[in-house]
Amino acid sequence: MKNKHNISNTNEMKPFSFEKIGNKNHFITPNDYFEYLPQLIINKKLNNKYLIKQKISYIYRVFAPSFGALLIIALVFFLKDNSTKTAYTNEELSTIIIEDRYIEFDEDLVYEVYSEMDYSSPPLSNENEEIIDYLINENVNINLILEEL
Amino acid sequence: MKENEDIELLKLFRAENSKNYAFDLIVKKYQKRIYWHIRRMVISHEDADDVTQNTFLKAWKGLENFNENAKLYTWLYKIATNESITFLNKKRKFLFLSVHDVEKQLYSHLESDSFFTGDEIQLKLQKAILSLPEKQRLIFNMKYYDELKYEEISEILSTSVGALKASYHHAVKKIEYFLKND
Repeated sequence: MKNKHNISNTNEMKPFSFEKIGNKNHFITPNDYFEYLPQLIINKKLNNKYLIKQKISYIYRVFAPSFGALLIIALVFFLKDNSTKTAYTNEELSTIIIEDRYIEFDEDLVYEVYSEMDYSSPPLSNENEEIIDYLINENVNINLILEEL
Repeated sequence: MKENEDIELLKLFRAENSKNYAFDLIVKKYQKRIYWHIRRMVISHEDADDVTQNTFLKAWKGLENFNENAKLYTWLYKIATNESITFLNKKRKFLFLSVHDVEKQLYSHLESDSFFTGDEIQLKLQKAILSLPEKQRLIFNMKYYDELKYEEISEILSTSVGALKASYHHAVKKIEYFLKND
């Protein structure tokens, strides 16, 4: 039987030589191959699982200590770096200056602070009356100050 | 009946405590068909053994999400076909061979293979089959040796039935010509 593409049906198409040869399988396998193949596959599967577990444990064993060591080194550097940048309170700064301890100022930082200061309106007035008013408000004995002077 | 069996096997496989048992049953049920399909493509037993094992290992991974509406054996055939083609391509790349040279190598292996019992005519037929392009060889083997229906081959190779019939027809003609003239 032919179809519109002029291709005949498979069974009719089998030529004489094919029928003579037949489709018998002439490949063979080692003895009992199909008996042990399922077990081989399952073993391979289980071994794969075991290998994956081993890989994970290897990663933990090798990389975890390295990561820990790196973390400690990073922490040490971070703390050391921060210790030099500690912000002092005014009182601490005064103590340091009075005790004449070595203190290193970042010149750029000092320049930056001064450059940002507003000099147009001085924070304190030089008017004597204002100072006296301030001291009276704060209940400071002016006479004692004058005696000290 | 066969498909119902497969559904039962899949249910067993999805239950954690019977997974290995179910997989063992699946392998036992399909191992011969899958092995012979692969063997006809890669020719040597050692290679077929490797590819068969890989096929079932891949199937194990995919079985969890396997759609029960699909046929298990066509799905296994599909994996086996892909694995065989991947294996042959790797072999080509590894040995720096052309497609034609690989087929020559497979044939020379067949001539000295102790696991091939065919006579001279059988050997000639195998040589003729090896001279076919890869896809035609697959179609010919599945139709001629495995006696699969065109609809099943169509599902496995994702090719229309019409194209498969045409391909098989050409393969048969080429083999006939080869056998007459070689």
